[in-house]
Amino acid sequence: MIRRSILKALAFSAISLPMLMTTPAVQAQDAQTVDIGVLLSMTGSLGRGGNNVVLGMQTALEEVNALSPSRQFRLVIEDDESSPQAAMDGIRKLVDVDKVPVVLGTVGSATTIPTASYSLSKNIPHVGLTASSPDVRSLGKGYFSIIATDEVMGAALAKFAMQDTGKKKVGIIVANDAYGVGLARRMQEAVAANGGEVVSEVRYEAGQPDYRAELQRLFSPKPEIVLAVSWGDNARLLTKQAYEMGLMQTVQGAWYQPYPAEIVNACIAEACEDVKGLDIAADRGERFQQLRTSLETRVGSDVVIDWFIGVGYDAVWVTALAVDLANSAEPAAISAALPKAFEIYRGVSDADMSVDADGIQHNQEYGSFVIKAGKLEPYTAN
Amino acid sequence: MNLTQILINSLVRASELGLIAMGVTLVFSLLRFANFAHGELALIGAYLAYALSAAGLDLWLAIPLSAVATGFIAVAIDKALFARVRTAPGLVLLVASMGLSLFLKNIVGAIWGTKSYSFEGSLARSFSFAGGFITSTQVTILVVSVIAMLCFHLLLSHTRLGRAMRALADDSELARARGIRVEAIISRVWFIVGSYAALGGALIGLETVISLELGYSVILPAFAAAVLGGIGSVHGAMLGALIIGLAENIVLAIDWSFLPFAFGPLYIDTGYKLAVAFLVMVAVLILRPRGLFQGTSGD
Repeated sequence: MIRRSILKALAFSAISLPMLMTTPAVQAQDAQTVDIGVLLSMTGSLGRGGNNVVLGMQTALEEVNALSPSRQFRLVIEDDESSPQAAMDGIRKLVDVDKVPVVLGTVGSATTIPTASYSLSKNIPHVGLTASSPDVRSLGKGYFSIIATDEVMGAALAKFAMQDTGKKKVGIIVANDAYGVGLARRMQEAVAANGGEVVSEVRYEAGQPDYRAELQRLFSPKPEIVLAVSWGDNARLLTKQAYEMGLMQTVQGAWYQPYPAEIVNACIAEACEDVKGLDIAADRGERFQQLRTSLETRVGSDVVIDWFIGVGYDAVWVTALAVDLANSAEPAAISAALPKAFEIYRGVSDADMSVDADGIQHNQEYGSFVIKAGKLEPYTAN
Repeated sequence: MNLTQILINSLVRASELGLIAMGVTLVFSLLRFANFAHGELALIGAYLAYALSAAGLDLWLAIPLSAVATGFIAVAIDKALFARVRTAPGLVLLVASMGLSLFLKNIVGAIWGTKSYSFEGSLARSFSFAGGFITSTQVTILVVSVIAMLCFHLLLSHTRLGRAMRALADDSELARARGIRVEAIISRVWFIVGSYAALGGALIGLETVISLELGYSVILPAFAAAVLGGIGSVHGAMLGALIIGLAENIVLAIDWSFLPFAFGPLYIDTGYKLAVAFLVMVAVLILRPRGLFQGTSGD
C-alpha cells in the first residue's frame, strides 16, 4: 500500500503534478521512518549552493511525506564545511553513527569522491548531487548522480559559445580542482572539434583574495571568447577584477560560464553584465511549476530556483521513490531500486533522468541563459 | 610580462603590507617577541570596517573608525594577555600570540561566519598608465598608505612619543631609569600598531575580499618584510614590504617554461604567493640575518 502511494503520485506527476497534493494518501497499518543521510556544504565557499540544495530537499520532503504518511522520510544533515576533511568526518558520522541506509551528497567533486568511496565501502548507496567530475564514474556500483558529468557540460558550453559568437580564439580559466580541470579538458576537446583554438588556459586556486595575475595571463594572448568555471566568491572576485582591469570589456558578451545561476547572486551586476552560460534547470515543465508552487508556500515568491534547489528537490524524490519501489529501507534494496527510480521519475533537473551503467545521468539537456542587470534571463543563441 | 603592471601591483601590495609589517617590527623592537596574532588585528579591522560600512556608514568614515576601534582592542589584548607575561621568555610570548591568533580568528568567524564579504559600492574605474592600468581603488590605497607611513615617520622622529618609543626599543631599563612611563608608552604602541594593522586589513579588503584567511595570508609576508628590512627597523619594514611585493608579482608573472621539465607555458599560481615571501625570508635569514637595515631596534 505504501508502495502504491508514491508510484501513483508519480504516475500523475508526468501529467499534472498539482493533482498530487489532492490525491488522498493511502493509509498503512505500520508507520515507518526512513532516514536519508545528507552531506552538504552548509558553510564555506560552497555554502550558498549547499543551503539551496537543502531548501529543495526540504520542499520535496514535505511533498513526499504528505503523500506517504505511513512511511515518513527524515533528513539527517551533516555540514562538510566545503572541506574534504570535514566531509570525511561527516560521512563517518552518517554511516557509522546514524547508520543511514542511503546518503545524498555532496555539492563539490572534491568532497563527493572520497565520501562516496567511504559510503560504498560500507555498502551504503550514495547519490551524488552536483559533483560533475568525470572521476565519479570510477566510484563503481552503488553510486548514482543526479546530473551529468563534465564531458557533457564542457563540450556543450564550448560549442554554444563558439556558435553564439562565431569566433574561434578561446581563453579558459578554471578552478584548479577535479571539477575545474575536468571541465577544462572537455572544453579543450570541444574547441578543437569545432575548429577553434585555445589560446590560453589558466588554473586558479579557489578562495584566494586576488586573481589579477591569473587574469593577466588569461587575457595576454587576446582571446575572443572566455570560458570560465567559477562560483560564489571566486566568481565575484574574478569578474570584478577582470572588469576593473578593463579586460572584461574586451570580451563583452563573450564570457561564458557553466551554471550561471551559481554566480548571478554573487557577482556585481555591472561586472557580470552579458555573461552567458548553460544551466541544467532548463526544464520549465510541470515538475518545475510544482516546485515553484511549493517554494512560494514555504519561503515566498522572491525565491529564484537555481539548479541547486532543483537537484536537492529531485534527489529526495528519487530516493523516496527507490525506497518505495524496493518497499524496503535496506541499503542493498535501495541501491537495486535506484536505477528504476531514476528511469521513471520526471524531474526539475531534467525530464529524463535515466542513468547509465555507471549510475550517471546521461541525457542531460541544458538551457541557455544570460545575466542582465543582475538577473538571470533565458537566452536564445545567435 | 608587463613591467609597468608588475610595478603598479607591487607598489599597491607593498602599501598594504607595509602598514602591517611596521607593526610587526615595532612590537618586536619594543617587546622582543614575534606577534603571530598581528594578522588577526588586520582581520578584525577589515571586518569592522565592513560591518560599519554595511550598516550605512560612509566607507571613508568606516575605515578610520575601525582602525581606532582595533587600536583599542589591541590595547585591551595587551592588558589582558601580554602584560601578564611581559617578562616571560620570548618563546612563551610567541606561543601566547599563536594561541591568541587562533582565538581571534575564531571569534571573528563566530560573529561573521565563514563566508567572504566585499565592500559594497560601484566598481572601481581603471586608467591606462604607461602600458599598464591602475584602478581608482588602487590609487586610493597608495595615497592613504603613503600618508599613513609619512605620519608614522613624523611621529617616530619628531614627537616626544616617538623619541620615548625609540629609547624604549634601545634599552628599556635605561628608559625606565630616565623616567619614561614604560607601560603607558607600550599601550600607545599597541594602539598605533593595532590601528595601522586594521588600516592595512581594510585596504586589502577594499581591493580584494574580506575572508577569515586574511590574517593568515598577510602575516607571513609581513614577517618576511620585517626580517628583510631588519627586524626592529620600521623604515626597513617599509622597504622590505616593497621588495616582497616586487618578488611576489615578478615570480607570478614569469613564464617558467624554460625549465627542463616544463611542457608549454608554466606559471606559478597565486595560491603559492605565500611561498615566495617565505623563500625570501629564509634566504635573508641565511645570507643577511640582520636584514637590509642592519635591524637594530627602533630606527
